[in-house]
Amino acid sequence: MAKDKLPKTKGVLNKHLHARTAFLYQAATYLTLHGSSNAGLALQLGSDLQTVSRKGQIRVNVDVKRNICKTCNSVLVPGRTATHEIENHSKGAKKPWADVLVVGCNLCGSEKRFPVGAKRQQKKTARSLQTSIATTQSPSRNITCPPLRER
Amino acid sequence: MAEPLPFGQVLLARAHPPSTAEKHYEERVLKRPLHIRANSPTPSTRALRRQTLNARKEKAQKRSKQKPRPLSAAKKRSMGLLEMPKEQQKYTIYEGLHNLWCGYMRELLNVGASGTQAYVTAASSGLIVASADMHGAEVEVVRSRCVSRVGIKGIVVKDTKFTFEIITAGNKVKDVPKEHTMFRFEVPLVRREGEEERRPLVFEILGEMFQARGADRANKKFRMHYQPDV
Repeated sequence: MAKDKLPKTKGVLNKHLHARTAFLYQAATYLTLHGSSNAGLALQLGSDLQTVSRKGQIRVNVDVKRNICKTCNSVLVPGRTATHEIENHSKGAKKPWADVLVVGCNLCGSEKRFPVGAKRQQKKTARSLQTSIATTQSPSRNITCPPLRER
Repeated sequence: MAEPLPFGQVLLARAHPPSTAEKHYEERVLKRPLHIRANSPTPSTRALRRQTLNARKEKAQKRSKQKPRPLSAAKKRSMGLLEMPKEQQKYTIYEGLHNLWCGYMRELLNVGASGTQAYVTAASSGLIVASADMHGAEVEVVRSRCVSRVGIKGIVVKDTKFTFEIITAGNKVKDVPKEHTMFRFEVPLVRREGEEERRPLVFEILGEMFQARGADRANKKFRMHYQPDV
């Protein structure tokens, strides 16, 4: 008699941790916007967010991750706790794909840099899939398969 | 016919008489001494391994130096990031945080506006409550070995390993040790239309069992313990 396997859990695993990170981010943002200075609890909540995500092995949402300073864990609100600038180091700033968004933290002075003009390379799996398709297609057009040798 | 003279000898013959050219060619070109210098010995496998290892290490170090590092505790202290500034010690600021926290708790317990859970039991949600984040909870000290602490009520603004920092309605920040203390907090339920106001969910925390940092509690396993005294 084979035991019936439990049906796979649908929905999010570790739902409570996801709820927690969401709450922590909201709370940290609320405190940076409403508190008069960006210190104390907001930073603590930011660092808690990092710790919880690491301990629970869950991925933080990309937007959330980019909005938190990696050095001091403050929430980066443009114009308030952070400066957003576009930098282009190409010759004469002519190349639009050399645009880099530099987000500076006002509290600790660290920087985050995001290439915004450049096109992102495809993921490796997607690339290898494409090449394999190309290689399988091209010879079939030109060369007909040699007849099988009889044994 | 004899073989043609080699090119070197022809060249020499342009400057010297043929006998001298032949002699020079013989002595200085054909029999030119070739000095052999011993080259450095091939490095041993051990040395090679060491070299590659060192190179890799150096590369990794260079890379890791570019990474943003978290602020050190000393730096945080010098920047004054660890303590709460005076102008932020206001209960009204943290009321908003408390509201956020209530929403979070309702979501956890599945009793929110869209929640379906009819009632909450210790077996079903005890673990979730125990591992929940307490920043923003409005707690009240209900039992304590230190009598003067009983009755302190306020919003948790810091959850350290051994204490709760609580801001009271009178804008005072109080450090309350978790040891020998029992805390009570409430989660108000949302009032649905056409319903009477529901009583809030009330929970009590044994501070003794709660002695872990907030983030560490996230996936800590809690066990039943016999709590002899409070």
